Amino acid sequence: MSEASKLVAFLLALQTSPIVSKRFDRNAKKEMERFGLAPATVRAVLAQDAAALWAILLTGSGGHIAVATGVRRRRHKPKEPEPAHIAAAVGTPKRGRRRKSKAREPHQVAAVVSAPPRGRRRKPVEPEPDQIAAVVIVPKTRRRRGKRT
Amino acid sequence: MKLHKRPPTRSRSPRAGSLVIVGTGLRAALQTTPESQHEISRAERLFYLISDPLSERWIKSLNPRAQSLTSCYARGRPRMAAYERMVERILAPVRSGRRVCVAFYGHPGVFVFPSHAAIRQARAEGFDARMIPGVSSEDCLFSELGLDPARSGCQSYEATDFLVYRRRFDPSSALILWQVGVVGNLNYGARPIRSGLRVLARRLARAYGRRHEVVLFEASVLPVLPSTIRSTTIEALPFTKITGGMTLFVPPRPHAPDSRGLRSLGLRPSDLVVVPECWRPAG
Repeated sequence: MSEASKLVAFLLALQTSPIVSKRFDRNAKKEMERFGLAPATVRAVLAQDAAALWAILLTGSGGHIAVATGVRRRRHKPKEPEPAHIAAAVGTPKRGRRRKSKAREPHQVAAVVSAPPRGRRRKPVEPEPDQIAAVVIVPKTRRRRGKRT
Repeated sequence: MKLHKRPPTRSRSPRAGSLVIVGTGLRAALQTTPESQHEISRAERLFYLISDPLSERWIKSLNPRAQSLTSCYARGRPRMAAYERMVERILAPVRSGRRVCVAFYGHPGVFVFPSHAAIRQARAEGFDARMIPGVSSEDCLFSELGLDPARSGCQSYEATDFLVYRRRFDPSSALILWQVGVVGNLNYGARPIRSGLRVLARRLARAYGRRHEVVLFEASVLPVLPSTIRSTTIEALPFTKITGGMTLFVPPRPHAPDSRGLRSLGLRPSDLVVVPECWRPAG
């Protein structure tokens, strides 16, 4: 079950079930953990971080999943990636130079995981909940259109 | 005296298919009326146009036959072309005798072109078609900004329409402008364009002054998030962070009651109840 599906299930239960709603009011963190949500998602809900929550919901339906390679050294342990790791993972411009191969559509979302997802590196798959270290919105980048002479 | 009998009319019984258009509100399940839920559950064919995965999942749990209309949109193409495709898709099962329900988020009759067009077309073809109201973004705005349209009246326009047709409005009455985030852009998937916001700000500044306070509002669709309420001025509007789904609320300019109007009704200024403004966001 993907992280987006778990979050949807939790939010839906919060809207429709008085029991879940009551338990959430009493101990929000514990209730979210009952639904198996990742620590990054729990933090996003508690901080009411709209961008992060939407990113998590949308990564389940077409968003990018990038790997913050700098964090991998820590034996897959979930850890907040450094800004430089996130920038490298989602392909944001670095020192004014844009890497064309990693250019994304403007404002797409990327879930940054602290360990590489299963399968081949170049083919993103849904990360395990405990692998999600951060969720970022990829900033607007300009894409070259047409031939420049 | 000769009595004229009315000529017998052919009984126009509706054809077998039917169409019900419902609104889920901004937060499906919480703001959906029992009447709408009932129609969603019993529909033989259910279409939906919903903005968030949460509501989508809830709709599918009520009726597993639900189909999304999102595929009718094409990024960068005119929204009107998508609406026409939606109407055709909705009416096809109605014509084949099915009981069809279409669920739109918010109120299905507020800023939803395909709902009205589908009902008009279905009725013209002799089918039974009706609409059930839902909670709209404007309803959320009234409750969250504490705005009472009885206080100074309320004018409501789509932002592009407001500029294109140079709508005449009364600055002493509240003004609500919809879809300010995509003013001047008629394509689907459009991002906010600053040039449109600059034109809008110039138009508003002429009526209210550049320093007049305005509020950008976007109702939350997730239960754990508050609605976005962003206060700014007209001159700062083109530089304010804005999203495609935001609504602009322009508070009214102070206005004294007309003495002739009061006299004609036999009232005195002290008879009028002055309700304090409470649209100002907290903090």
